[in-house]
This record gives sequence, C-alpha cells and structure tokens, in this order.
Amino acid sequence: MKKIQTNRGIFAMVVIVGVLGASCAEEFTPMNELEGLRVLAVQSDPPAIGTAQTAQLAALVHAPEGQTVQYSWSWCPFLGSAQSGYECMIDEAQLKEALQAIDPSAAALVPSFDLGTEPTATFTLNLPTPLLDLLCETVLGQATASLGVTPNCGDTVKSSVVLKISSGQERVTATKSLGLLLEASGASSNPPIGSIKARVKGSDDWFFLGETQSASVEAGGTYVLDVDIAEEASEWFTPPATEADPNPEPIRERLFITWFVTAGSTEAIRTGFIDGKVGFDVLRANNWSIPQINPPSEATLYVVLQDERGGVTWTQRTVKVQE
Amino acid sequence: MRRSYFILAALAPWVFSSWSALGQDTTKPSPPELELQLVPPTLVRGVQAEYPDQAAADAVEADVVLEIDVSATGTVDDVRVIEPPKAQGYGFEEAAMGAARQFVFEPATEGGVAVPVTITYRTSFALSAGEPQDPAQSQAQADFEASSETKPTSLALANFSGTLKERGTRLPLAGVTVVVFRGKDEDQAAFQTVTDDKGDFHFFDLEPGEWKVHAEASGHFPVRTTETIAANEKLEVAYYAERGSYNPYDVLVEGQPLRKEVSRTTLSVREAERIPGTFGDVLNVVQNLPGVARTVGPGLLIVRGSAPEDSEIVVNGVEVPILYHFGGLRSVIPNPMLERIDFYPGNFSAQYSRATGGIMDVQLKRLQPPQFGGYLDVSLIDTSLYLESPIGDKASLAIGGRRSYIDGVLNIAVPDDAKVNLVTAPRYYDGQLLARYRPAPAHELMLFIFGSDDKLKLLFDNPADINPSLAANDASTSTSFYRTMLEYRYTPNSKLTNDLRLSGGRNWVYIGLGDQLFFDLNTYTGQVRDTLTYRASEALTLRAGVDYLMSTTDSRISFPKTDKEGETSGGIDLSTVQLDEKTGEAFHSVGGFLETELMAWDRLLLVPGIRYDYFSRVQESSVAPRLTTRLSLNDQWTLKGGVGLFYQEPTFDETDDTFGNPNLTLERAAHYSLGAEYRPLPHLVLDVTGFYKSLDSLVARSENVSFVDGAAMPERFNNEGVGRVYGMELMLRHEPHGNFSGWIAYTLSRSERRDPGQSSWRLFDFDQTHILTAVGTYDLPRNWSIGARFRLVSGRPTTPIMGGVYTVDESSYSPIVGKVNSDRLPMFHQLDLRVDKRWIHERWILTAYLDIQNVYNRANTEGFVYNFDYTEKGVRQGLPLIPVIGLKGEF
Repeated sequence: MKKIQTNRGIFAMVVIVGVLGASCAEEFTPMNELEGLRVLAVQSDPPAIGTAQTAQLAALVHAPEGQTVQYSWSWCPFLGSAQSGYECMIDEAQLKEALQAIDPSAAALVPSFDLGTEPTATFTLNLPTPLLDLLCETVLGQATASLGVTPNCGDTVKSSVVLKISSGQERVTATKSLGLLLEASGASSNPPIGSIKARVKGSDDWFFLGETQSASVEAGGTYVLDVDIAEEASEWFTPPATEADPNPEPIRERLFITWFVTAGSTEAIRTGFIDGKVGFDVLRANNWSIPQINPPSEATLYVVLQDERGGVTWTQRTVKVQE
Repeated sequence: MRRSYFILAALAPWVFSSWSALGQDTTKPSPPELELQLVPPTLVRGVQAEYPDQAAADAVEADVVLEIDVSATGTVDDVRVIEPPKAQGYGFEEAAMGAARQFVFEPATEGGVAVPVTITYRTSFALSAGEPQDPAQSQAQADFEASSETKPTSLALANFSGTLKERGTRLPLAGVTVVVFRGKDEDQAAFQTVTDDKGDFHFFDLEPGEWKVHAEASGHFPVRTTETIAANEKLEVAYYAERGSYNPYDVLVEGQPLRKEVSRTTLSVREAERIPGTFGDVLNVVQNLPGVARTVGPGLLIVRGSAPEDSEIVVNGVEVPILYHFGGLRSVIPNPMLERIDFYPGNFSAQYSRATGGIMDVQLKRLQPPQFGGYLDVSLIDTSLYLESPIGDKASLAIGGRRSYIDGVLNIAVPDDAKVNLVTAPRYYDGQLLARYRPAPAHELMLFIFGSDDKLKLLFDNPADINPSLAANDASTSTSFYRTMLEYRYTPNSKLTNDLRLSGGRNWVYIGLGDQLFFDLNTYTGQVRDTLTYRASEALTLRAGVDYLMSTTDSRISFPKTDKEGETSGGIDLSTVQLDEKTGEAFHSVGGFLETELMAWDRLLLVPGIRYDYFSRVQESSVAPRLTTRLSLNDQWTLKGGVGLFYQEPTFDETDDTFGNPNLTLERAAHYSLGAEYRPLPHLVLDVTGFYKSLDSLVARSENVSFVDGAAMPERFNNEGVGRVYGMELMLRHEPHGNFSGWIAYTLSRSERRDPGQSSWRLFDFDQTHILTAVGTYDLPRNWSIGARFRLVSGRPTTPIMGGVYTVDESSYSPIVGKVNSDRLPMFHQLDLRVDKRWIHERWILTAYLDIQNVYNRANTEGFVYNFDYTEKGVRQGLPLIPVIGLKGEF
C-alpha cells in the first residue's frame, strides 16, 4: 500500500514523457532528411493476408546516386526484444517442429522464412485458419508471454517481414508487420494517394508537382505542400474484441504521412489524421524549405502514407532547384 | 483600550536614592488646563488576604506583586502575579490574588471620564505588624483596613511607559534593564526598571523634562534615545532593539537527544533551508547526506543502493502519498511547519516498517508561536503565504498556502501558433492547517490538514509528428491529495508517554494521453498508529506500538509494458498496451513492534527490537528482528553497530493481475553496519560507517510462461532477484555554531543485482561509486550570509545502444541495446552558491536571496541522446547556470 500511488504516478509520467519525447533528437539531422542508404517504406499488398493468399512485398529505398543495393527478405512469426537485436525468436525448423507436435501434417505448410534477394518479394500463407489460431495461442503466445505481454490474437496474427539492404559499407534493416488473418473481417487495403501540389508560402498560386514533368522551385524558398488524399483512404474497421470491450464499435483508421526530402527541410517530419481529433487538413499539408546555400540542382520529395493497420503507399516527386 | 500603569517593580541599589520618586503624591490635583489629566483609581473596599497556615507555622514571610486590571466601573477584571514570592509552595500567590479579586475601586479618570487601568499591587505577608513603609501607601490606603499580617503596599501612576521588542521579529525582550537618567554630578538622577514577559516597562512620576533612555538586551544593539516628559502627561513608546546577528542559529537551542541509531542524520529546518541548490526547500536537502545517491530530480530517494520505492518518506511517522509537486519541484509542506528531518539510511528502528532501504521522517513543529506572525515568499515560480498565531495560552494555529504561476508565465511566453497548446499550463497549489492544543501538561493534541493539487494539460496540433502511434491529441496529468492527521500525546508522568496518531485522506492521480493511454487512480486511505513509551529507569526504556494501514482504490489503467530497474527497451511499445479496471480494491497492513533501550554501565546502549507485519495484498506475514548498539568509549569516541531484517511489499503494479503477478511475496533485506563517531569539539563530529546490505526475494522480470486452458500466460515477475550493496559513509559535520554550519559527506559504495537465470552480477541502475558533497553556510556582518554546495559524483550506469532497426509501422527506428548497465556516464561535479541578505525593519524582516545553481556552468552529462537511427551519439546535458531570486517578508 505504501508509496504505490506515487510510484505508479511517476511510472506513468515517465511513460508519457517517453512517448512524447521518442522522436526528439534536435542536435542531429532530422530523420526525414536523406543522406545515406535508407529504407523509407515497405509495402505489403494487401497489408494482411488470409490462408491461401499471397502478399506482394515491395520497398521504397533511397540510395545515394550510382550505388547498387542488395536486398534480403525474410519472414518472422515473432520478433525478439531490443536486447536480442529484434532477431526472430523462432527459426523455421523450430516452428515446423512445434507445429508438427500439434498437427503432423502442419510442418509442410510452414512457409519458408527466406523470401529471396530481389527488390520485391512474395509471401504466401498456406497454414489453415485453425492451425494459425493454434500457432497464435501456443507457439507465438509463448513467445509473446515470455516478453511479459498477454497474447491477444484477436482476428489477426501479427507476424513480421524483415528487409535487410546493403550498399557498399552501409547496411540497413527494416521490419514491417504482416497480418495473418484469422477472420476475413480484418482485411484492409493500402491507402490511396493522389497528386501533390505546392505554392510559395504567402502566395495563393498553386502548382502541381508532376510525377514525370519536373516542377521548379527556388533555392531559399519555402513551399506549402498539399497531398490529395481522399477521405476514403481512412477505412472503417472494428477493433478486435477484448475482455474490457467485448463489443467494440467501428472506428476509422488513423493515417499519417512521413515526408522525406533529399534537400532542405520540412516543418513536420510526419503529419497525421485522427478521426474526430486531428483533421485531414493537418494530414495533407506541410512546408518544405529549399536550402539557399549550396542548393542541389534537383531535390526529391518522398511522401509515404500509412494507416494504423499496416497499409502503406508512397509517391515521390523530383523538382528542379533554381538559384 | 486598557492602559497599563505599573509601579516600578525592581530598583537597583544605585538608584535607591531616588526611591522617593515612588512616594510622590500621585493623586495631586492636576492642572485644569490639561485635558488628559489622569486620576488614579482609589481603593474603596479592600479585602485582607489570609495568611497561609503552613507559612505561618513555618514562620515564612513573603511579598507578592500583583497586576490588577481595574475596570471603568471600579471592579476588578483580572489579577495576575507579576512578581511571585521567593517562598514557593505556601499558597501566598493564591491568597493575594483571591483577596485582590474582591477589591472595589473608585475608577480612574482621564479628563474627567472613567477609564480602565492596570495597576500593580504589592501584598506583603509578615508575621508581625508593621507601619506603612511609604507615605504614598498611606495615601493609597486611606480606606483600606490593613491587617497586621498583610500589607498592601503601593499604588502609583506611570508617566513613562514603553515596550521593548526585537526589531523585525517583534518578539518581546523580557528581563532587560531599562534606565532613564539625566543631569550630571550631584544633579544626576537615574532610575531603572526591568521589562516584563511582554517587554513592557514603566517609570513612575518622572519629573518633567528631558530624560536619556538606555536599554541593552543581550545579543542586541543597545537602544539609546532621549525622551521628553511633559507635566501631567503620559508618554508611551515602543523601542525595537536590533539583534547583533540575525543568524538563525543564535536562537537555535536544541538539546542533543540520546542517539540510538547506527546512522541517523538530523537536520533542523533552520539549518537546512539556506543550503544552496535547494531553493530553500528543506526536504530537498536530504540528497546531500551520506548514503544518498544523486538523481536528476530531487523527488527520488536512492538510499544506500536501494531503489526509490524501497525507501519510505513519512510525516510524524505517518505515510503520505507525495511530498513534492511535479515529482520534485517543490515540497508540499512549508518550512515553518517542519521541526526537523530525521534521515535513517539503514538499520532503522522497529518503529518503522514497509521499507527495505531507508527512512526519511519529517517531523512537524510542535507549534508554539509567541505572537501572531508569518511570511510572504515571492519567487520566480510561486508565491507562498504562512501565518501563525497563539490562541489563548493553550492553543496555537498556523495556516499556509502556495500557488505557482508557471502557467501564467508560460501562457504569455508560448506563441499562439505553437504546435503544443497549454490548455492548463503546469500549475500547483497546496494548503495546510496546523493546530496544537495543550489543555494540560499531560495532554497534547495536534491536528494537521494538508493537501496539494498539480495539473498540466497539453493539446497537440499534430501528434503524428511526435509519435505516429498516438491516437490522441491531448496529454494531461493531475495529482491531488489531502490528508487529515490527528495526534494525541498523553504524558501522565515523566515515565510514560503515549502517542496516538490517526490519519485519513484521499489520493487521486490521473495521467493520460487522451483515451489511448491513461492511468486513473483514486484511493482512500487511513492509518492508525499508537506508540507507548515507558521509561522504567535511567537505563531502561521500553517501547511498544501498533500500526494499521488500509486503502481502498478504484483504478482504470490503460498502459503499455514499461521498463523496470535494469531494463532498457529503448522505447515504449504501444502494441503492448493493456487495460485494467478495478473498483473498491481494498488492502490493509497491520503491524506491531517491541523495542527496548538498555543502557549498561553508562556506556553501552543496546536497542533490540522486533517487528511483526501482515500484508493483505501478498497475504504474507513478516517477523523482523533488529538490533543496534552504541558503545561510548569516552566523551569523544563512540563505536556503533547494527543488524536487522527488513521487509516490504512489491509495488502495486507488480502484484496486479493484469500488469504483474499476484503471487509475488515480500522482498527482504538484511542490513549490517559498523562504525565510529569522533567528536573532538562539541559542535564537530566525524562519523564513519561501513555497511553491507543483502537483498533477496527481489521482484524481477520473468520470461517464464504458464499455460492456462492451453493459452500461454506470462508470469511477468517473480521473486528470484537478488542484490548486494556494500560501502562506507563518512560525514564530517560542523553543527550550527558561531557563524558557520556545514558538512562534508562522502560515500563509497557498490550496488549490484543478479537477475533470474543470470549467473553474473550487474550494476544497479543508480549505482554511484563516489559521492562527495560539501555544504557550508557562513554568516557575515550586516545580516548577510553566504552558502556553497559542491558535489562530485560518479556517473550512473547506463546501457549502451548498439544500433537501430527501422520499424516501418512506426516510421521510426527501434534501438538495439547492449549489455545492461555496462557503460557509465561521466563524473558529475557542480558548485551552487546562495547569498541571503536581511533588512531588519521595526515590525518585519525582508529577506532577499540569490540561489545560483551550477555557478561555473559545468556541462554535466545526464544521459546520452542518439540520432534517428542510433548511429550517432550525443550528450544530454544537465541544467546550466541558473540564478533564482526570491523575496521573503516575515512579520
């Protein structure tokens, strides 16, 4: 009973501060200003798959001009902790062995963890739903529980795709969730993204940043960007039932955009939409400042739109920079 | 308004020659032109005091000087003894007062109007009849039927009265000789009197003209002035004598209590509040004592390598929810309500429980203000007001309050187009009421009601820029509590004391990120504590007590898994958020203790004790034997040692069925310490103590999984953690003496933990090998004082980050962490200074202070920060040079 309230309060405050300050790194180059080899996004189409479905995997990679990038794709049922370097907590042989103990025929259905070394990859789920359910409750459940978290499969088993890229001495690892559907109702799609227009800050004259025809921007100028995103990009879905909320109401997906640039800086690294709290106008807009000193001849803007259920879409524009 | 006229109470031999001044005709007709002519009261009915039988039998004589309030109608309103008889115990005072209460006077008049006055009246108890000693007395007793045994002796009027008080504090200066004199050589005339308890003094029937006045109180600058006495007028004055130094230690008279503990540091509030770097907040001073680790904020108490939750902070032995605003910014109890802080870094008494680390016992003041007073303290962040006053002779009351204005400042400073809007900028306030009532010497009641409220609410325009996983655009925190504490001390005789303490209140904590993450806890709590102390003899004291603590909590929590001690996940994983709602969750803890203080051969003090506790949350009991001993080798050297067991419950979240493991048991610590004290001077003491602390059954993170109906369930925590702490503490303390107080504290220690399944020890999160703190305050002339604090502390352990993995779903990198606490931050050092200046006005004191933290602007490393992909490392610096200015007006 002693000092409980205080400790829990401090504990909670630390969490809040941790969450709020997670992206605070003012002394360093901002995350969205691209310099070296980077994975900017990984897309699974569709974002979640059911039995007998295939996910097409693709990546948005930024590499310094002229460099060749090597790809290595893999699938992992459950990633480990920060201490383990997010290595897969179970390998293919162990998973086969575990599933074989449940169903002797299941081992053959276990997908290959190795998804190839091409710029794109595919992943096909052959495990039937009952086996997937068992997989969640036992094997993955145990792995989850060992991290101190109560497993909650809901309508989706959350697995991961891991992409490792390298170019010269640079290496980058990226992970992305891949939902394995227990129920079709959990299906979602990648959010569509439309055109991008811009105007000089303080001006009302919009111009489009074409995908093929380069627009021009002035060095030292600040441009207001607007991405055309339809309201339907935020899908309605019903969250998984929980003990606390056995009959959840349908809600709209949260969306956010990450704005990557190869030159200059943006006012926000990310912008987002939260239904009823933060509007689409916040999601769509950002300011891009073009460097005045030593400006490049071209600058590229990558706009990565994501939803909270693993949906990812991107588009990119390259503009000419006039001094 | 009643006027006071006193007969000169005491005359020194050298002015006896002027004694006749008392015999002047005080009832002489006054000049008709003076409107304020005063005619003294005339006794119209006197009553003879009865000679006490025993005094008569023992042939004892006595004089009693009374002070009588005579109303405008001539009746006696009140009678007081102002000069008791030398022979005590015979009932002379009661007899004289009983008779005087029956007197009836022709009332005094002023300008022809009846007015109330106060006179003095001497009653002489003599065994044989005597003539009146003074002609004036005959006049005064015209209608008084004097007996041969008692002799009412005098009645006269004062024409020069005054009050002597201390400048600034307005405290009356009693027992000070006041002299009036004039003339030279043979014409010289001089009289003197002595101030009474109220600082009042009176001269009677001084001749008109100029008189020089001289009063000199010990430790004060003398008062020298000249007054003009007009014929048939009364002069009333107020003199304020300035103290030689307003060093608070000048009036610090504190006995040295018998030390029973191996390690206890007692800090008086007066000593602590001027220590630099604490902004005058005495509760922040504890961090400068041996055995206490440095933390970035003062809210955490890391004692001898124990976690913050392992140490207990109590107020008069009663548990309180929080002592600080916003985790350490300010304490919630104002300094004047505190008497002292007792800090026990280990081997504490069986009176304390529910902690395996240390104890900080904040002792409230036994309120006894001599007069109405208080202060207004204005600083850059808040303003506080404190008032205290006696209520009659037996009671006193103090109230206090504080309100921050950080919110006002920030609301002005933050631009309208800021990305973060301060819906409720950080603000706090607190309030306190302290009352004391002592109806009789054996009974003493104390009531303390206090509460605090902290609030902060932020609104984000674009929460995705902070963290794309945020589903809310507002964050708020609110911490409120109130407590009512009632203490009854019963001391029927010098051997027995019983302290009963009752406490009750409510705590409410809310911290949330919209409806995504929230922590809503509402707790009602109560505590009963009774301690009985019996001093059987000079050598033997027995103490026994019971202690009951209960709470009922409603909680609604939605939170992710968070790091515990020894863990670095590098971030918050919002996918691990779990919801927990509980209503009326009640827990209690009951305990009792027995303790004996046995002094053998006047040198060896043994304090064995045993404590029993039952904790309903873990449904487990503990029995904790403890022993401390002190051996005085001589007046200068003392050896000391202690051993004992200490238990505590896991924290609330650790036993929660959603966030923890309800099957956890008590954590246990064994304390061993051995040391010596050397006191070469009465105010100088060197204390060296070695300690070893063994910790077992520590709650630690578990990777174990159990299966319930085929479903995997995490164990989350178990009691398989162990720890060890060992080291040495040294303290050289110059207790308040003369113009200086201060200490040098040095701690050398190592604190380690071994997690479940691990064979090797690791460093505790707050392990600090070297902690050196030097604190000093020196009083300069003209009411200046200067203080300094220097700290040199080893950097705390840290877990390195080896790189990062890009997590696409969160559009950010997740860190890959290395071996737990395998790195260490650089050494910390910092100098803080404080300068105080007091301006002493007649009725109040203005204090200005300048508290400068980090004087030489040392860029201390408080942690590391990394770039977005953890490939670059930077330093998170501590606070730069910060000057804080404050003003405090005391009256």
